[in-house]
Amino acid sequence: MDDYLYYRARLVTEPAESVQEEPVLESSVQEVVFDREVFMERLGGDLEMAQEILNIFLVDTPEQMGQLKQALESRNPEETARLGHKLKGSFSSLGADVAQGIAYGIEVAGKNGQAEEALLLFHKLEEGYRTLKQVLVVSGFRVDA
Amino acid sequence: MRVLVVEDDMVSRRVLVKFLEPYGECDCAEDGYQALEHFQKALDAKDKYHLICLDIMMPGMDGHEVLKEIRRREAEKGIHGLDGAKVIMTTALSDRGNIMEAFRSQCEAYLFKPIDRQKLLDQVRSLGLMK
Repeated sequence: MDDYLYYRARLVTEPAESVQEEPVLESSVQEVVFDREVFMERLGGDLEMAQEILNIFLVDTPEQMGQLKQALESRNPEETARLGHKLKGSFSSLGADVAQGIAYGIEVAGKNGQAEEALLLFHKLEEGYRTLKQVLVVSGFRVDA
Repeated sequence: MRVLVVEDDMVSRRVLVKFLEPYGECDCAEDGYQALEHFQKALDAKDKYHLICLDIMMPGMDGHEVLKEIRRREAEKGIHGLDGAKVIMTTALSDRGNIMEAFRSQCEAYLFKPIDRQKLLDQVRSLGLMK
């Protein structure tokens, strides 16, 4: 499953430039980035709860990514793996498959001591997070919390 | 119902609390050590948890170790079988291998992440903790 997600993550984030040029993504790509229907179903259709969870996510995630950046800069593989694992959990809570797959890749790279691979994936995760926020807006959620 | 949610990821933790707080009083722990502190405090106060949602993959002390310690401490107090806390282990879909280990550690149920509210509530109901 994780291998599959990681594969999809690479697939979707590969054309980085096209994502920036075209803010509104194709619906099939949107679903891989964030599947609103699945997310809402898991929450029993509670829109208020969904926005609350997203608010927590939107505060917590940049903080974790900042810590991950520091871990990468200081070449700390254990901390890289730990934060990759945490971020995998956060993205998984939203059903954000692409970002979850990338975070998993960072966790694995950290465990294997592959600093370059982890850094490369971190850049993809930053990009994936930006894309996720775009898709959340398109899906009708607020991302300014 | 008294609930302890043990989960290292903040978003996952808050999701579980959001799901469960309409049905009981929820405490949270960020790791296994904190979980055992909460558990012991509740045990000493004779106000034990009815339900513990326990993440398997946590840094430091993982869910399996925490559960073994919970059961050991319960046994010390003469709490056995159905009188113990009901424990639902939570894990990523890719961690299937962990499930058998979880049952060997005497958990009552497991759920794959991301957690679905209905599945969680159905599980809690099937454990007899709510109607």
